[in-house]
Amino acid sequence: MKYKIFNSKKGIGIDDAIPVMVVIFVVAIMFMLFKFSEHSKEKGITDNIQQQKELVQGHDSLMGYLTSITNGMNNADLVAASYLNKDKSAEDSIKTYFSSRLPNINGWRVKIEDSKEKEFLDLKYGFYDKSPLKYQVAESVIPVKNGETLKITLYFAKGNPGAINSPIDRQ
Amino acid sequence: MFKNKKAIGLEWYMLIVAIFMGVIWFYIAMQNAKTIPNYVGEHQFSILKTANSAENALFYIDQSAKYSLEQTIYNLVSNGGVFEIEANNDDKLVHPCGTYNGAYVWFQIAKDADKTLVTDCINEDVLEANLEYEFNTKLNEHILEYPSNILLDNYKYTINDGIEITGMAANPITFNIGNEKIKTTTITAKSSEVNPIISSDKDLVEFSKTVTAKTPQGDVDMSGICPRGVSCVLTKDAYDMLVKAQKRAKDHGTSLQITSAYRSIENQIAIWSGDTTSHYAQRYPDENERRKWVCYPYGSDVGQRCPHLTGNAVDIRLNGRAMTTSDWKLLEKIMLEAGWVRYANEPWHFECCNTQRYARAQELGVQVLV
Repeated sequence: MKYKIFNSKKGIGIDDAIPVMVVIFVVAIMFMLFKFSEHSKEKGITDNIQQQKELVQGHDSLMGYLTSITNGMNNADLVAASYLNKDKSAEDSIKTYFSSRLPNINGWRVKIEDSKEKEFLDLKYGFYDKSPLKYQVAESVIPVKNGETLKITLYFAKGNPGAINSPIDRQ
Repeated sequence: MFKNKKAIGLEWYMLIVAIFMGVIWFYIAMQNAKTIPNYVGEHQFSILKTANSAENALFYIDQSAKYSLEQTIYNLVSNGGVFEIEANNDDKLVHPCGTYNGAYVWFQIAKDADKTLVTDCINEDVLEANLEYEFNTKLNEHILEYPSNILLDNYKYTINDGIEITGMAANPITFNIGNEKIKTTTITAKSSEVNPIISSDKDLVEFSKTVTAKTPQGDVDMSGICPRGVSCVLTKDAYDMLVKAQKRAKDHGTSLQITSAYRSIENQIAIWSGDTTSHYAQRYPDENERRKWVCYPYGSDVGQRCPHLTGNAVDIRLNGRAMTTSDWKLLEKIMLEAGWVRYANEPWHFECCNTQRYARAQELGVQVLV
């Protein structure tokens, strides 16, 4: 057999190997695409779980802020009183609380609107504006003594590598 | 072809088949990647989110209660502790000693010939009743502003020393996990006297947020049929008949508004026992008298006797109307046209489907009966 092959006068053309090479090439491409889609799927699941965890963290932070008591009144009272008095006295307490409570978040935003959806306060912190990904993590409605309500919404920002655990610039 | 001496290789055909199969495989894989069904922890997070909503609502109620008490005390003090409204009954009362310079009189000293009459015009019971009434009114006002539906008049108040009010919820605030279709299971009886009355897996429909109902005859506007603070739950059959009635109401240039629909056994017991702000037990201490107004929620036949427990009964009115005699007549016409049966003693109470009263009405061929 060995003799027959090596002593054959007939040449072996590359065209005989083309179909096999094409099959191998196509299979390799499909395998890579499949692995990529699997990776995307896993990443989607992980991101989803991570986001769900942040929703819980956001809710805990917001409720923690509203129920914290200072000088005999909770912060929900403070925000409501600030709204009624048309001053920004709640601003400092919001900044102090959330910056200490959320040190690992790239940036956060607290928006307060009245029942007519008119903005009362909008505080951004850290790299919120610069981050490409921003999303709402918690929302709470509190009553005001005059019968109105205030909607307090907390947003997180993500996607700014290098900012995590680094000093946050106060805006 | 068969005379051709040159052999035909299968490799090209196999290549085509392989590529075709590969494309199908990849397509299926990509389809699966688009939807992530039941990822780990999905249901747990769903429950957590619902718990968060509940926490928000409870916090809102707590804050509202605090402000309501402040406002109530302010109003009471401004009025000298008097409201000329009897608690839990909107009948206007007149303060026995009247007013002096616009202020209610607390003590009245009158001279009658040689006698001096001293009348104490304020008593603690009236003060407490007024405090509770005004507090509940203020709390309802706050609750109505909350984005989700929280039941009104749902608390039994106890006034403690130092003007501290404790409110016990008569009915739980419900937050649905998932869709709006409720599957009830057999209700656990709270008391040995109570029998579970709702068969398991009864289909109930929650329609408090339904804006439009789709029917074969077209869309029906359902906005406003369920006012804030009312629990709007019915069986599917009853809901379909309600949609029909709403369509008839629209044809008559008006619309309907529910005041009460399905009640759980706990809810019925709370109403009977006076644990809601309707205070039936206090207003009618005699049980026989109270049975005229509230269905007695105990006994093995309670499920048949109390139609609201079946989810096939509604207390209803015309939206935005004062409900004069002609309004009640129009309401009856609309509801009867849609196939409902009216309880003869209450112009607002209608039943359908498989209640005892409805079955009897069908047998007798009438639409109004006791």
